[in-house]
Amino acid sequence: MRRVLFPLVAAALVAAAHVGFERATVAAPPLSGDDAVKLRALIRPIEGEDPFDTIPWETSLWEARKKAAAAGKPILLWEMDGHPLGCG
Amino acid sequence: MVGRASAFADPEIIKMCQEQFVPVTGDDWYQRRRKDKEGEFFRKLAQDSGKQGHTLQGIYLFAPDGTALAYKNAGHSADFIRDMMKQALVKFGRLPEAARKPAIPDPGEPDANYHRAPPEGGLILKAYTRILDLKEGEYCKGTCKALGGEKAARDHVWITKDETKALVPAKVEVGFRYPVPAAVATRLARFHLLDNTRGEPQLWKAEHVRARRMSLVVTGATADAVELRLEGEVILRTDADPAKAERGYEARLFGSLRYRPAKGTFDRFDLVAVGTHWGEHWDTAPARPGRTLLGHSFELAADRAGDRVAPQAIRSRDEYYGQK
Repeated sequence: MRRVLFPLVAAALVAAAHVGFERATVAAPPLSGDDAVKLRALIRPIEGEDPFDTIPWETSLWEARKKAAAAGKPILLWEMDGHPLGCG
Repeated sequence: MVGRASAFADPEIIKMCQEQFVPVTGDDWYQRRRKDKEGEFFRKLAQDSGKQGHTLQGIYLFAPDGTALAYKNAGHSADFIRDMMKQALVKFGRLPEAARKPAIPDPGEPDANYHRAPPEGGLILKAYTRILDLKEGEYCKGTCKALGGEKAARDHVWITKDETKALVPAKVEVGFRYPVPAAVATRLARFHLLDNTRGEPQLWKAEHVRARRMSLVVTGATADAVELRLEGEVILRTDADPAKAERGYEARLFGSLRYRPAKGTFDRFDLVAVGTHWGEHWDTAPARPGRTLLGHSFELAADRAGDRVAPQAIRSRDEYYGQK
C-alpha cells in the first residue's frame, strides 16, 4: 500500500508546487543527460577565453590595502555599478 | 562588461596587474552608499581622484594610504589605461614610505545595509550565460555584434542553509520525485535565468513568471551518496500574451546533483537551462533580433575570492531571499 501511495503523494506535492502558473509548456523537447553535458561544455568559459581571469583580483578593498601596504605596491581598483566579476 | 574585453584583455596590463599592482574589484552600488570606514575611504578616494557624478565607477590607482595617483573611466582603450598605469607607478615611486607602506587600521563593522556575506552553511553556485545558435541541428556558440556579447557572462547564486536542507529528499528511494523548494525555484527563475550577456539586465518581476516547474528525482542511493536529477521548465514573459511580451525566455532545465549524507551537503550541482529568449533592456541593448537561443550553466563555486562575489540581484536582499 505504501508503495502505491508514495508516488501519488509525491506527484500531488509536485503538482501543488505549480499551482497558480500557466499550464503551457515549453515547445522544445525535454533535455537529456547527454544534452546537458554538451550544453555545459558550450556555455562555460573555456581555458583562456577570459584573460582577465588570470588577474589575481581581490574583492575586499580593505584586504587589498593591507596586501599592498605589506608589499609596498600601489592598488588598482576596478569599480563598476555591478560587480566586474559577477554582473554579466 | 567592456573593461574585460578591452583593458583587462591586454597582456601588458594583465602582467602589470599581476606583478606591480594589487588588483581589486568592487561594486560601486554598495561602495558609494556604505556608511562605514570602507565607504568613507572610497568616497574620499573618488573625491581626491576628481571623480564626480551619480556613480563612482571607473579605474582608480592609489597608494595604500589613500593617496590618489590616477583615475579613468573603464571604457577607455587598453593603450590609454596602460599609459595611465605606467605614469601612476612613477608617481607611486616618489611617495614617502609612510604612503607606500602604511599601517592599515581595523575597518570596524561593515554597514549591514550595504554589506552582503555568503550564506553560512549554504551553497554558492557559479552561473554562466551564453548566447547559442544551432548548426546542422546541434547547439553551438552564438555570434552577435555587441563587444564581448559572445562571451560567457557570469553571476553567482546563493542558497541558504535551510534551503539546502530542503533540497534533500525526504525519502531516499530511487524514483522518489519532489518539487524543488519554491524559494530556490523562484530565485533561479526570476534572478538567474536572465540574458546578462551584454551587462546588467532587468530582473523578472514575480508576475513575469508564467510557468515554473522544477522537480528533483532520486536516481541513485548508497550509504555514501544520493544522486538526483533536476528536471524543469520555465516560461518568463513580460506579458501574458506571448505576442505582446517585449521580453521573454522559455527554457528547459536539466541538472545532476549529488548529496553526501555524511557531510550533510552537496558536492555536485550541475544544472543547465536552454531556451529561446527575446527582447532587451535599455541598458543591455542591442540584443540579437527576434527569438534566439540562450543557455545557462550552474555549478558549485570553488573557494577563490571572486567566488564570494554577491549575486547581482541581491541588492534587494529580502526580495532575493523571497522574504518580500
